[in-house]
Amino acid sequence: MAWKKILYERQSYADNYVDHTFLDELKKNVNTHTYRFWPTVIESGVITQQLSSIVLFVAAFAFMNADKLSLKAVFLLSGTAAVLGYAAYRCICVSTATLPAISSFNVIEESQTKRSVTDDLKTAILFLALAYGLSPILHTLTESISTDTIYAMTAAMLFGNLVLYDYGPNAAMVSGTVSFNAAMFASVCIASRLATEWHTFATVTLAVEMFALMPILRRKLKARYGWHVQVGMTLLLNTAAFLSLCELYPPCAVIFLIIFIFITFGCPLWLIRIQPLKDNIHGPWDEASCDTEVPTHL
Amino acid sequence: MLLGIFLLWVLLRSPLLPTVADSVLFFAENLVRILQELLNWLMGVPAGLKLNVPLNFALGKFFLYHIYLWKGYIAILLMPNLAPLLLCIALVGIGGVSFQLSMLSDLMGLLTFHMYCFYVYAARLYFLMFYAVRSLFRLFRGKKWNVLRERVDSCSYDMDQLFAGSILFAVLLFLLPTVLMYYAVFTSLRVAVIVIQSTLSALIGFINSSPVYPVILWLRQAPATKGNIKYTILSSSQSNCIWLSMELETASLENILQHSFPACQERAARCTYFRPLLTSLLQGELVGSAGLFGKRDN
Repeated sequence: MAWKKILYERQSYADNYVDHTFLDELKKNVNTHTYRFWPTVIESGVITQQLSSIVLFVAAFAFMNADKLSLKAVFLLSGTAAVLGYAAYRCICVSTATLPAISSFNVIEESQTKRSVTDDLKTAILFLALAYGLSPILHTLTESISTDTIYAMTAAMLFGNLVLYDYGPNAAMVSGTVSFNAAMFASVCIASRLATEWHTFATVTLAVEMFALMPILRRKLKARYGWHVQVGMTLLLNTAAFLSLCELYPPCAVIFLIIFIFITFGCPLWLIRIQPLKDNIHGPWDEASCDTEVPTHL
Repeated sequence: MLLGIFLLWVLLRSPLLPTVADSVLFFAENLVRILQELLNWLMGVPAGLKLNVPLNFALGKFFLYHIYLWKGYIAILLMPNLAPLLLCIALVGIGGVSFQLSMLSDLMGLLTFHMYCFYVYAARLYFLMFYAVRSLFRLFRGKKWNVLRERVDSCSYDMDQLFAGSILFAVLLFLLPTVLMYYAVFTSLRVAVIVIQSTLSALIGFINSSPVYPVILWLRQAPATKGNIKYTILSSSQSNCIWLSMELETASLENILQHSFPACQERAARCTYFRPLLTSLLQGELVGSAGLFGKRDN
């Protein structure tokens, strides 16, 4: 008797018997995405942007430590950047809302909680008050810990921020919360090494701006305006980081440049080179998976 | 009781009472001096550990002020009343030496009351910090304690919760070793006092349950110690019934001792209390004298 692929009738074969037509249902590389060079290069900008913002933060600390950057300059810069950035964010929100709402991206935005300007203002005041009130404590927090330990902890935390940052994929390792918290912990560690309490306050505020507010703005700009703005932001941030490293410690600037070229051009080339070697097999034996994810703006 | 009366006679007859009063006062003042030196040691560099200077200073000043108040308490309340108090303790010996021992234990509690206060302050502060650090560490990882299911669950926090949480976490984490140092010192002092008081309590319990009275009764063959009934058959006359003579026999010594020992065995069985004690010490929960050797029986 021919074997039928059913279980509701008793057959003379074992329950887990398969015949020669089994492998006909094998499909290879069904969901593979073929990468093209230039779009991948543009997308890699996300990583380099985060890296350069970390570098800029550390450079700002180093300049403040060496008294090359005055406190007033830091306050002015961060204040104007925050105000301008927030204004830009609000404009983009408004202009996105008035677009013809076809793209699913708008649907996501509508469904998220609408934060009004008052909410954001309240958060900002809360944060500034907390940082200002805690800055005397923060200033003497790590006096009894050696400088090397502090630098090591800061470096580890910032590295954690870089690795665990939410670049976009739905991987298990990604954790926006942990990366932000690690960055804040690093900023507290390093801010306690500065001269006065105002310096500490400035560093913590700068850290919040660079690690919490700027990523939101960057994502918004990228979503709204596409790849031109993405390329522009990447070039701008990386040039700023490179120049500050040149000013600070030139060998580091060279290393930064090498890393930048590797991430931007080397990694996409490598990815495309090994993409044909991909050999995923799919078949009816796979676990069922629900496709409830909303397609991203890519 | 005999021991108590003996001790009372000894104390009243010999000029021992004033010297005992003097030595108690000397003990109390010595205790205060030792505590002050301990605090000054903690405010410096204790055991080579460098603690957070402002917090160390604040805590040390707080406890020193408390000692200053305590000195006033001893001078005003205790010194004039010490001799009558000791007379009372001696007089109470009419009830037996266990009365005197318990009053001694209470007197010790009174004299070390300031150490109890310090322990409670330090334990409460440490408990609060430990609890906060544990909860904020969960926030750091992006998780939360689910009260309904009693487990740790993931949670998506708002941006302002993350700001406040990560900064507070860093601050409390760095301040924890200082508070831990104070807590460890005062807890060990308090545990020493509790050990002494529990030893006295165990001694009292032992005295209370020691079978002195039954043994004396047994020696005198008193009617209360009769245990067995012994029948002897009297010479039977020709009548149908048997005449028996009934005698009450004194029970053996081991029988009597067995009856009076169950209390002691119970106490010995309850001494396996260390694991929960250690956990509550590590978490900063208050331990009392009732917790060290099981409940005090009266």
